[in-house]
This record gives sequence, structure tokens and C-alpha cells, in this order.
Amino acid sequence: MTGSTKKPSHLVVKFGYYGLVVGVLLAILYFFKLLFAPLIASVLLTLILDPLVNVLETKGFKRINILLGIYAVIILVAVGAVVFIVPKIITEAQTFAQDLPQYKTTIKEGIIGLQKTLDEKFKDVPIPDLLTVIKERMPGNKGINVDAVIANLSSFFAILSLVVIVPIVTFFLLADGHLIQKFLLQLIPNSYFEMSVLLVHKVTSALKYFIRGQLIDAAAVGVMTSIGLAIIGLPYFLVIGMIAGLGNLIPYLGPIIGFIPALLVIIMSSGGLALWPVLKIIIVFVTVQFIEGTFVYPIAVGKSVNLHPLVVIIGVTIGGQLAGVLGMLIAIPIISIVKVTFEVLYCYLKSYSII
Amino acid sequence: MDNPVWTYIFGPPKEKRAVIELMKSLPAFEGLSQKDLVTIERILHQRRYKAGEKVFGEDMPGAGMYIVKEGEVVITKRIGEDREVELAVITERNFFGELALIDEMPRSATAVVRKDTVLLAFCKPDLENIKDRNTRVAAQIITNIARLVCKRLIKANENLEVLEKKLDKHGVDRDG
Repeated sequence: MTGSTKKPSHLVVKFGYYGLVVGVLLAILYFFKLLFAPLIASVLLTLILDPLVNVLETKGFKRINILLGIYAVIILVAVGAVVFIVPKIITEAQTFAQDLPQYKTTIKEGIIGLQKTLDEKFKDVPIPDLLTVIKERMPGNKGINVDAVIANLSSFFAILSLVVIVPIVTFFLLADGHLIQKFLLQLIPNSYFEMSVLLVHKVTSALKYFIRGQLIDAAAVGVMTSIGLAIIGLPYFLVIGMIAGLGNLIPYLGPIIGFIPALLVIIMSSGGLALWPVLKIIIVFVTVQFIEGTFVYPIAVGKSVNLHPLVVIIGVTIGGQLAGVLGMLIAIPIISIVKVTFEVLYCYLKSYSII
Repeated sequence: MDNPVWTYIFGPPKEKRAVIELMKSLPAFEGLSQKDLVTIERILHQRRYKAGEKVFGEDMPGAGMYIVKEGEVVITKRIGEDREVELAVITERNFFGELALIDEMPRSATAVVRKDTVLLAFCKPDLENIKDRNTRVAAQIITNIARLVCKRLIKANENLEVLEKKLDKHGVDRDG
């Protein structure tokens, strides 16, 4: 504390320490880019499974036994899928391989027919040989593409990491999530401890309720749409219901995403757009949206996302522009996180009289 | 062994036992079994403060309660613009800030450590985590804190009565 010695000041040491911590974290993030997707998937899965594990734990089961039970069920389902579904896919692939020469001939004949028609109708326009053009543009005609091989390899590792890392990380997050959080909070200096505790809690709560709410909402829309479409007798009602449910995860665009495939099915099955079938579909979708908006959404998602509709629309539009469908999906949770962070920081900055 | 990483991984069991014994003596954890206390001990945040360091400030959002494991904490309150009144000194084996476990109201006072101090923080998110996983334990802790608040309210009412009598004795008109 003499101050005359050439020891580095506390401030320098502090900045050095936290600079090092941030630097190491950034380096980890940079070098483990591959782990990004599986880690995010694990956190999402943890947020989904956590309430189920908690409910079973209140019934008196040990957390570790619950997790082992859930994993056993998942493995059984996966094994069942492999045993029963994979042989079917293999049989279909074999049939497809057998029929492939026939398909090739049919397609070739079709193209030749099209060429003839085009040549006859547009005699003055020079039309290139379609077969040659298509053959040139077909993939696999340029030898082995090194980039494609690397891309395939990295996607292979990505899938492998998802299959291997996600279950392991999810297991530990579910078993000891709060202890991991406790360990990370130990690194925070005393002056920011309470703020960090509240921030982490509010952000995880907002995410937790949002994800659960959205999943319940999507499932409800999926089931209701399927039932509605089954009642009016539309083919593939289950698939369209599922698309409508998943589409519902994107605010405001959801209903349209389910509506388009329903229209396509009508065109495919009846060869055109008759008024009555379209009207029936509109009635189903409007009814589902009414029930969802009035009863399901307020209960399932409710106040977890306390955002103004205008903010939601602008957020979804910007998310869509920046990162497509994924951007639209994650726009609302990201805005919620930013909002909660600002709320907590505002309180602290205000009490420190900084603002 | 002062490194939090190694302490976290190897966790000196002797120290853990001491913390559990400390918790047993606190009214906030009354009626909990040894097993419950072991579970809570695992989630407590142990934090070291230098003399003069602030634990929390008045009007800040509160995150939870603190148990004084070693050292001493002074609780003060601002009166007017420039007066600071010492409300209490929290010594070893006592706790403070428990209202933050129940309500999200800003802190009603400031807590500063008087000498080098070790505190065990039990935060609101931790209590909520217990509530999700073991309702009985959470209910017991909340009941204990409610009981403490009741006792304090009765004490505050008694103080108020004494003050009222003093004011009456001096003939102070409180409406004006």
C-alpha cells in the first residue's frame, strides 16, 4: 500500500485478470466453433426437459435416477425407430434403385418430347440441346470436388457431435446445472455478484417460459389444425397440421406457413382451386387462430414475453432479413434477453447514480 | 486450496460440515433435516469480502440473503441527504438481507463489511430452484422467514408505541 514501489496498481491487475478471463473465453469460443450448435441444442433440450425432471423429483424420485430413466426411454425409442423404420427405408431405396433406369428413360423421353415441342413452336428462336445442357449441369460430372468432400466431412462431424455431445452435455446440465452456474458465479467480483445472479436468473427464466410456452402453443395449433383438416376431409391432414404447428413458432407468419401446403394439396388433388374447398380450409385456419389467440397463447406464453406487438413485428422482420427462418425463430427470445438485461442493468446503474 | 476451482472440485468436507452446523443454528433453516441442509449447502455461494467492501447498497434490487460465516457486517440507512444511521451490526453465525428471498423490492438498507469477512449467499433463484424440486423444503424456509418478519413487525410496533408515548409526553402535535 506504499504506492512508491513500482508494483502494478490494483486497477491494472484487475483489468489484466478480467482481460485474461474474457480473452480465454473468446479463444475457447473461437477454437470450439464446432461445439456451438451442440451446446445451444443442449441448453434448449435442458430447458424443455427440466420441468419434467423437477415434477418427477417432487414425487420423491432421485434426480439421477429420473435422468437415467428418461435416457433409457429415449434410447428405446431410437432403437425402435432404427429396427422398424430403417428396414423400410432400405427396402424403398432398393425398389427405387431397381426402378431408376425406368425413371431415367421416362425423364429422357419427356425431355426429348419437350425439345420437339419447343423446336416446333419457336422455330425462329435457337434452342440449345436440352439433354446436353442438363447433363453439363448435373452434379458429379466434374470429378471429385475437394471442397464438397471437406464440407461433407465437417457436416459428418457436426452430426456426430450432435449425436454424442448433446446427450452428454444435456445430462450434466440437467443433473448439476445449478452447480455449474454457481461455479461460474464464483468468477464474478463481489460488486457485480448480486447483479449477475439476478441477470442470469431473469434471462434463464424468460427463455425457459418462452420456449415452454411456444412449444405448448405450437403443439396445440398442430393438433387443432390436424383435427380441423381431418374433419373437412383434406388428405395429408397430419403433415399439414405439423407444418402449421411448427410454422406457428414464427410470430404473425405462422398461419400462412400452414395455409400454403393446404392449398397445394387441394391443387394436387383436384387439379385446380375450387371455391368451396378453399373456403373450408380458411374456416379451419381462422377457427384455430381464434382459439389459439384467445385461449392457448395467453395461458401458455402469456406474460413470459411482455413485448409490444410492434416490437415483435419489427424484430421478426429484421431477424428474417439477417438470418432467414432461423432469424425469425430466434428474434423474439433474443429481444426478450436484451430487454431483461437492460431492465436489470438500468436498476443497478440508477442505484449507482450513473444514469 | 483458496482457489475456487479446486475448492469446488474437491470441496473440503470438514468445512462443509461446519457450514451445515452453522445452518442448523439459524432460524431461517429451522425444521429442515440433515439431508435437506446438505442439499442447500451445495448451492450456497461462499464469498470473501475485504474490510470496507460493500455487500449491497440501499435501493438496489436484492438477490438474496447472506449468512456471516466469519467477520462482521454493518447495516446502515440513509436519512435525508447526508445522514447515515447505523441500524445493526451482524456478527458471526447470523444472517441479513432475507427479505430479498421473498420480495423483489429494492434493498431497504446498505450492508458494508467492517473487517475481512466470509459470507454465504443464499439467493432467490436458489430458493426458486428448491421450490421447483422440493416444495416441502422451500415452504419450510419461507414459513421460517415469515415468522421472523412477524417477530420483527411486533417489535417495530412496540417501538412505535414507545415513541408515541414519548411524543405524547412532550406534547408534540403529530397531525401538524
